[in-house]
Amino acid sequence: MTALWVRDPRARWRRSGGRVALAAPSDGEVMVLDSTAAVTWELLASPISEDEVVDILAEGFGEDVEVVRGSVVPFLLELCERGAARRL
Amino acid sequence: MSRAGFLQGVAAIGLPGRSGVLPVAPLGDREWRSFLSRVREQRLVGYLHQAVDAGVFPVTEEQATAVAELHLQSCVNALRLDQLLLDVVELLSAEGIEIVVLKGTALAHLVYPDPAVRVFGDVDLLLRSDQYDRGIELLVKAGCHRQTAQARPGFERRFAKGTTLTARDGHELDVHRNLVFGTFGFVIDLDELFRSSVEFQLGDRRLRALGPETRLLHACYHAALGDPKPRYSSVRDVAQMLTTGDHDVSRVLELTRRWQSEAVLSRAIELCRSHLGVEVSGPLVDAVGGYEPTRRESRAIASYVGPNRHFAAKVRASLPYVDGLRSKAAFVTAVVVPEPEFALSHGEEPGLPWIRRGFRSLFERDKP
Repeated sequence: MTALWVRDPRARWRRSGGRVALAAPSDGEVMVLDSTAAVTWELLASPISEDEVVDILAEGFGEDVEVVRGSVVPFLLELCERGAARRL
Repeated sequence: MSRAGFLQGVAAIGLPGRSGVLPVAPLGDREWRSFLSRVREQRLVGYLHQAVDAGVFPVTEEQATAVAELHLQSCVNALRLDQLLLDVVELLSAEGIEIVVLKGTALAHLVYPDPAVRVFGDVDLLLRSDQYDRGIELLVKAGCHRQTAQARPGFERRFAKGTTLTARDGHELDVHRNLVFGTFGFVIDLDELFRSSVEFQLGDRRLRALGPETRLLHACYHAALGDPKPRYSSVRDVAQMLTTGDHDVSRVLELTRRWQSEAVLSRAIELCRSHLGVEVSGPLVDAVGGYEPTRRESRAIASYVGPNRHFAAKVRASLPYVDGLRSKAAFVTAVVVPEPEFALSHGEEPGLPWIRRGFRSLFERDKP
């Protein structure tokens, strides 16, 4: 089982249709998440493993698991670096 | 149907008892551009986004994209304003200054099921009168600047509603010490606003906002006295709270009596009907809805939203509510003979011309 990820309670965001505006706690800069990034953010509402995120996105978007993993992992790391998500 | 009719329909979206209409087909290009500009100005982007999303406001693909972009931009802006709020709270709290968050952020989080619906354009804070000058001083030291000078030292702390600062990032920061200037402001128990405040969460911070009853009354003051034709979003706040708010009706009525604001509440309720097209109901509406203002109350309301409304009219109507002769004198002196910077910051010539005009407008009778 891969590590569990969850939103950092310091993160502030607003949902706009299928997109999410997210203020990164590290510097207050606002990122706009769309497509898989926005769905990933929704999934991080409660602790979830990297594998589960990848499986759900791969199934939902009809993409190859490894292709999805290739974009999800860097995104999770970026969220972590910017203080918006944490690895449990 | 006019654009105003559609604006009304959008502003009341999701509320029971609404009579506003929505178009049955997408608006033409010219009409759409003008409509969208009014939506932005009236801070209705969140409601329009909701209406388009729900399929009740028909739009072309291009129009849908414009609404989505506008809404996203307002969300980004709200997050930036929230950051400014957090920075200000951190700065002032470190110096022991108590803060209650007003309007925008607080209403978005406490009154609306989805904060993204309630769009706002500035940050509003309430400080205690005895901490007001220190708060402003700290904010100015931190790089904010006042949009207008103070009439006289201590005037704002004693008599004003507050002042507007521009933060370093260009956003507006409204620092209040009262909910409203003038007559109705002088009878508000300002300590009560802090005593009954409640917590809300912003990121991982716990901030304080007005309690449900004072929050509703503040929305009423803002809608009923802020402008003769208030923003639809301001009236929507009142209707939203009357419909879904968790206020205690008897407590609202008690405060309304103590703060002599029955006429204000009654006008706000009437605006829900006449301006927003929403037939609000409930025990509070039954108790205050048909209130007949006294002559004094009518004069006071007219000084805010009547045809002869102006600063001097508010000052004149307020005088009976200022305690003691010395305070009355200080109040009038500050208005009629302000510091030169005050007149200059209002784009006026200081000195004798201002004083003459001040006296004239203060003591002349309003034309009917």
